Amino acid sequence: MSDPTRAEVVAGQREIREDARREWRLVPKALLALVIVVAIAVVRELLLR
Amino acid sequence: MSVADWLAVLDTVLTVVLLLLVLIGFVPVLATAFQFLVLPFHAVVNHYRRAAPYWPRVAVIVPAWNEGLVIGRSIDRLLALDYPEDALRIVVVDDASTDDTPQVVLERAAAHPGRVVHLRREQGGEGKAHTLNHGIARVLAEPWAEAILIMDADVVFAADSLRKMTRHLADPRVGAVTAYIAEGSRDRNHVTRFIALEYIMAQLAARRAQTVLGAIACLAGGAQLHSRTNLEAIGGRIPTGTLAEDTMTTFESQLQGRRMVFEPHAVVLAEEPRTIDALWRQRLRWARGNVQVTRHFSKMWFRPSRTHRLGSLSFGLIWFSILLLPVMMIAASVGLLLLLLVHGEIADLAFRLMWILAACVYIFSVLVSVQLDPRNGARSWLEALLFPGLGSMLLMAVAIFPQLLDLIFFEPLGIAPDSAGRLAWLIAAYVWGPLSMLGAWLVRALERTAVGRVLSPPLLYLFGYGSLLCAITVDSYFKEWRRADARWEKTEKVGRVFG
Repeated sequence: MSDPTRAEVVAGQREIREDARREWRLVPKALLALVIVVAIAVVRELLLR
Repeated sequence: MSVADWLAVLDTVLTVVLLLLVLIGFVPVLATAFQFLVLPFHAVVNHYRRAAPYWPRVAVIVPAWNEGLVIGRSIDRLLALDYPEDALRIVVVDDASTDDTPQVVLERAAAHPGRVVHLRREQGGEGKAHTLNHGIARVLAEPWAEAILIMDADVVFAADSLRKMTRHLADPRVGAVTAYIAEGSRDRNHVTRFIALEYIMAQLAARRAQTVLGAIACLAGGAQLHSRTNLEAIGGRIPTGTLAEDTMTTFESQLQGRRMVFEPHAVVLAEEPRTIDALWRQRLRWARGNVQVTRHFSKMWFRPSRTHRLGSLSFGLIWFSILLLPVMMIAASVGLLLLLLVHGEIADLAFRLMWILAACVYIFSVLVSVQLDPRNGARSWLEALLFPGLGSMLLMAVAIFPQLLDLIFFEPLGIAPDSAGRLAWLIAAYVWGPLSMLGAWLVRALERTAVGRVLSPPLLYLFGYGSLLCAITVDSYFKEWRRADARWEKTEKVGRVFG
């Protein structure tokens, strides 16, 4: 196959960095879900009091 | 010791044993919680740091048996991939098709000489693994291919998906890469919407978690990219002895010490079954395959190794909590029922704890999942809400708010606290897990009738998609136990992904 051009390599590296960065969004997503579960637990406690 | 003392000891022992039975029911819930809590660590523990732009010569092997409706468009989409033209060859292994598959493929082969190859098996019907092996043997006989992509005839790769997969093969330690296979039918129904959500949970969530833990259960057979070295190391062929050829190759590759990578940003669309019966037949094959794989690698489980993580405690826990989920649910129900006879108050406490925990894990896992693929998550919002079934949702609500049942049910109907009505409710609640599996089995049976086709969607929402999968797993136990005919049965695809 023809070798990739420098521009293609740079674009590929940028894409990898972007996808790696997107994985960091897992943290706030999980935290948000956790906060909602905790909020439901708090509401339950308040209602059962 | 007096007789009364002995009886007290016996009572304690019995209570502990029954509580342990109930605790078995906590295992799958805890395993799910564990996976979803581990999931965010994929931000740090992933393969991107070792990935690099890399465009190896890829031979795509497409097994095709009577795929005339989809194969042409599949080839066209592969040809349109954002990947160097001279580094991509498509080998369609025609498994003695009796429709127009050969003509469709030959037309493409003539239009793209050297890029599309038609391989015909005159005697087919042996199953996907045999068909793939026919193509793999041909590809490996020549030195051209540096990587081999195994796929299904109906799947549609996003333009950038192959490129996103090959970048991981730049690391020689990686043996194979898989993509996120999303349900892609344009006209979805209740079954495909459940499957869409299931795929988010089982792939975007579970496979990331498995990556963090160092062992992957299965690289999806619809998009499995192997390095040539890896495929040759596992014998240059797909194992044919089981119904789960993709899981077998995943395990064998890892046992060789090679790393498996799940690339969540490489998206592949697939058409999935639209009826419960078709889903049952597909999943029965998968579930039986998993039982066979478990047996095949019986000496590997819970035995840590330096070359792979398949024998780790965490991976074993995840694997068996899925494989034995129905058994665990039945054990918990039996434990609760017997506890009800000896210590009703302890049974009530254990029941409530179990369902409160199940509710927390369910809410957490669904909330995370719908964010992982917001588009599919939004389209399957009702299925996300009712994934465990309306029955289980009610039990969760009652466990969280114990007075709820009195308010909406017992008091309006005038059912007294110690009446037979309350006991009947308790028994039904304690055995809801096995009952809902039975209900799911009934839904499948009903679907074959005209009335049942109308009733089956609401009944599926009542008993839950999870119960349906559990019922299929139970069926797989029996089929494997009876060594029933393990013929490979193709799931019918008509091109709904293309619209």
